[in-house]
Amino acid sequence: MSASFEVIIGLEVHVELKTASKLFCGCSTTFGAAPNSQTCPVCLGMPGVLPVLNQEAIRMACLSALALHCQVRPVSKFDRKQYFYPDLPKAYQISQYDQPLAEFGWVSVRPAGGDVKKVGIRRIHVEEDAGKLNHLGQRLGDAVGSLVDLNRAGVPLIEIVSEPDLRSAEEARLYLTELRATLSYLDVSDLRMEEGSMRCDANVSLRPVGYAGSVEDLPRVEIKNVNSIRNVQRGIEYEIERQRELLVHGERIVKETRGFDDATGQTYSQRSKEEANDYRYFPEPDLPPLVLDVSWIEDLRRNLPELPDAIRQSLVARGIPSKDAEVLVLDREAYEYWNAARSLYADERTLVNWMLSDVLRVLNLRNESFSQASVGPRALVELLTLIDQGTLSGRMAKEVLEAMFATQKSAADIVKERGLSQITDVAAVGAVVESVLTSHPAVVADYLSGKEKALAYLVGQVMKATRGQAKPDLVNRLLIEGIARESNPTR
Amino acid sequence: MELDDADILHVARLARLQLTAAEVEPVRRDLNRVLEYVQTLHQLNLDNIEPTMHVSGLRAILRNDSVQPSLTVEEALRNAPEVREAMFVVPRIMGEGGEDE
Ligand SMILES: [Zn+2]
Repeated sequence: MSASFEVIIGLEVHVELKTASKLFCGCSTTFGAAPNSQTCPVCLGMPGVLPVLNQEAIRMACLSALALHCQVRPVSKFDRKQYFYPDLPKAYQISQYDQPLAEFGWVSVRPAGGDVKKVGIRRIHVEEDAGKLNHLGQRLGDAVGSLVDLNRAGVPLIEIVSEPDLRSAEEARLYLTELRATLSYLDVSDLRMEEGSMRCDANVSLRPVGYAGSVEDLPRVEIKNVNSIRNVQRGIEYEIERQRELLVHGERIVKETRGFDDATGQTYSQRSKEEANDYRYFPEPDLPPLVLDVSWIEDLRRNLPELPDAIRQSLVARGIPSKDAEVLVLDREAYEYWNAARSLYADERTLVNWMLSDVLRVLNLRNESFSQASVGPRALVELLTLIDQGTLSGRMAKEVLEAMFATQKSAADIVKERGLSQITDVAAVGAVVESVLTSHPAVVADYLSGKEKALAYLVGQVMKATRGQAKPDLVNRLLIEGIARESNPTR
Repeated sequence: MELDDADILHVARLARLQLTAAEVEPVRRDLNRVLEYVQTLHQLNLDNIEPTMHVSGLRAILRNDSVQPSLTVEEALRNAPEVREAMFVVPRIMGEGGEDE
């Protein structure tokens, strides 16, 4: 029996918008406040209250939709999605059903060695978040009860639903990375998966080769609420293999919701969805249709900031290697750091090299990001300038960089304090070279007999004697000249 | 269309209503009468009539994104049957019927 299947993945991403107040009431949205300290009759679901839409949430949602190449509907409407769950005080969520805010967008992904692929976005709609449940027990299954904090209830969300266009866990990872990068340039969300301000559910099914029906009819497994992009990828990888095994052995895939266990890398059954969800959506009577001015939408479109695709292109056009450009594009803070630094420093490739190797390494050690880096763009440029001026060798500069991070002092101050400046004086370096050559005749002979490596050893000896401060290319040159003189004394 | 007992039990379950066997029949009869009444609409000629999105005929009114005072925690929790660590206590959640988004 042939075991050929095509992987079909669609992602639903929830993004919390970082408005100051909630979607339908004036309660604050600040993360981490004392439980139930940010609630009011509207978000507690008290009878007799009326929701009033937050303008800023709509602006942020439209901005996101436009950045993701969606068409924004001039008229959209809100609906009630009904279900019972203790985190939902009204027993319905105000969402958008058949006339969502935006539709027909796409995100481009770049699989390694493959072509750019456009992944469709089916729709983006606005809805309110639910509260947060804290289960009394290890897992939902054996919890004896739960504690409900409604601070998050009513926080604005957008749900971004992709088309089932993704064909591998890696593509899903690329999609999420690109989506997050795009939204990061809009300032519409914190986008922190570990804090739940960005959440992803993945729908995974396998299509037997030759299957002619609709993708929607395939038994689909939904992996819910995974807390990092890496884990979405792992969950999908596991799920593909699990389903493949079942199908190969002639078993049936059960349509269900599964959780992901970070520790084992496995998905586990949460509840069966054999019975279709019946949310009984109906139009929200408390909210008239949302009508947007087409000129207002066009204004937003015109004022979109520079987005990843354009940034990528301009970086590569500036001569930044595409691998480095990719790192900058996907990390808005790094890109802004780079932008600030390059306005002060002409050699952009050197700059990017330093940023993405040495600076990034120290940042990781210190658990800092580019935006909070103790050594800012200006300080880094000062250091690079000292290299250009010949005061520091590259190797010395690395040490100085670490000291800058540790002490918050400028490169120049550290050089002065530690007496670090590079020895560029030909006579001074020449004297050390002479003494090294005299005391290592055997190594010199090795070099003369063609062992190139012997020279590196001699360079090392000179560096050691000068505490690493001799100018490397000068050392090289003087050594070669010195050896030439010794082996050919007539000159 | 006419609802049968299975429809009634399904709707009752979704609404978390516990109907006794004796209640199913009268509820089904009443609901069917409601549906029948609504179906009067089918007798109207609705050609060229725009679907009504909302009965008010209004557009959504938007408010500025400004934070207003919330209730105090004590006020928010006042009607809760049980409170622990300033949160509402709810009984164990069974594995079905819910949705956590
Ligand atoms: Zn509120």
